[in-house]
Amino acid sequence: MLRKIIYTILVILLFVIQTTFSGAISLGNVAPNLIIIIVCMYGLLRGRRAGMYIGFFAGLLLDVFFGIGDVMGINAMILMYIGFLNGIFNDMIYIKNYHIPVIAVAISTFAYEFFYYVFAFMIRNKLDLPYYLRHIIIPEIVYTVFVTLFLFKIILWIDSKIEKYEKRGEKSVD
Amino acid sequence: MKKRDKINIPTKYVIGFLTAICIAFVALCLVNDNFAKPIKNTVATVIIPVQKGMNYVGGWFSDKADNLRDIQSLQEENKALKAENSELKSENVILSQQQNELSRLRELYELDDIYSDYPKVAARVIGKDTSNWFTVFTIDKGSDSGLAVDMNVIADGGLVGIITYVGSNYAKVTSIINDDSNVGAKFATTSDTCIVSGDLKLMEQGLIKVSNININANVKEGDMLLTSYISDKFVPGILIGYVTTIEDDANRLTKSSYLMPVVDFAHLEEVLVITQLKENFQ
Repeated sequence: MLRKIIYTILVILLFVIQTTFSGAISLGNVAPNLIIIIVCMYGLLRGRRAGMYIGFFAGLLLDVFFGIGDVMGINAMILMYIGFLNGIFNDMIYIKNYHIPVIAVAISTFAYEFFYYVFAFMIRNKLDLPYYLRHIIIPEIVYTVFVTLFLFKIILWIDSKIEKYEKRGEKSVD
Repeated sequence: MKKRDKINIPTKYVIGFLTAICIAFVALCLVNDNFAKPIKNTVATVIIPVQKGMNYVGGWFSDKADNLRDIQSLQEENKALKAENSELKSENVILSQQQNELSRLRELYELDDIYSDYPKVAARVIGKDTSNWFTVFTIDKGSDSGLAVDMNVIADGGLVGIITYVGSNYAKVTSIINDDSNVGAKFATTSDTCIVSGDLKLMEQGLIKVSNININANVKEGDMLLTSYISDKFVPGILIGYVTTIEDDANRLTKSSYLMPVVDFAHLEEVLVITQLKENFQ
């Protein structure tokens, strides 16, 4: 329960940071995608079901304010599957070093941006994918991965704290 | 976790169910615009105050940073501003005389004063689209302050965009540089009409595309573009920007050009919302 509350607050906090400070944190008109990072990391750390829920929740939050064409549900669906697919790798690999989160975030950001492009641009007959890849998608992946290097440590730290707290609770019950 | 195991539904069913919810959301939003309004308003009552607080903190920091700026540069700036001020004062006297003359002449010719001030409400920008694809932002006033969809938004004396959604305590503004934005415009000098449409590819250079200019239009680089009467959402006479190079289109019927907007979209902090709607415009 505590974990859910903390991660909900974390998602809202990252969302607010991204919306209010995007001017300050963006480089060359490109801002990192902080929401993807938390969805990815939570999926990797807690498994498919948890990743799916956090993706759905974070996606709905994006949809409420900045849904593609004012339609709710698209971001929620994309992020839900991203969280879910990251969660599949939860029990397969060891995630406490840099490599896995970096690769996962890079692939997830690409997937998210690609589907965003399909739903927001390709649908309107804007077909120059190579241009958008070069100017939006790839810079965003690079920047997001860069931020992941820092954020991933913070998320791991928070997660280990929660774990410790939960275990302490179990002991006292026993 | 043990308690949960008893009523555990397989994850594949849950994800199927949530997918169905998402698709239902999309379908319902497409059918009925107002469907999502209660949800959006509920979420906004939580998030908007947090965003406002965050903005306040950010503003406080940047204020402090400004305070630390060199005093000498401020003094120099002050001196320059004083000189400019006295110049402007004398100019103002002449202009007010001309204004009197103008209104007298207008009375004589019984012309309406169409460019008179529109009623405006000031608002603060509190959030920007999380994606890098669009230039949509939220402002801290909504239907509670009398805002409505399709109201025009200006800043720095130029057109910023149009309100596309209002919640009770926030509103969403789609800017004219946005990839899916189209504005009917006209040249201030010749009244030739054209269409100003945002394009993501031009956003980096800070330009907007201008198309459908009549091939015979006597327009040149640096001409001023205003919103036109033809537009059904934008009130007429708002400055949009200045055109750059003009080229003939391949079809030899129209010309197209690029437009340098007067608004600095990267540093928007405060905007004015024109509460006059075009549909009620006389």
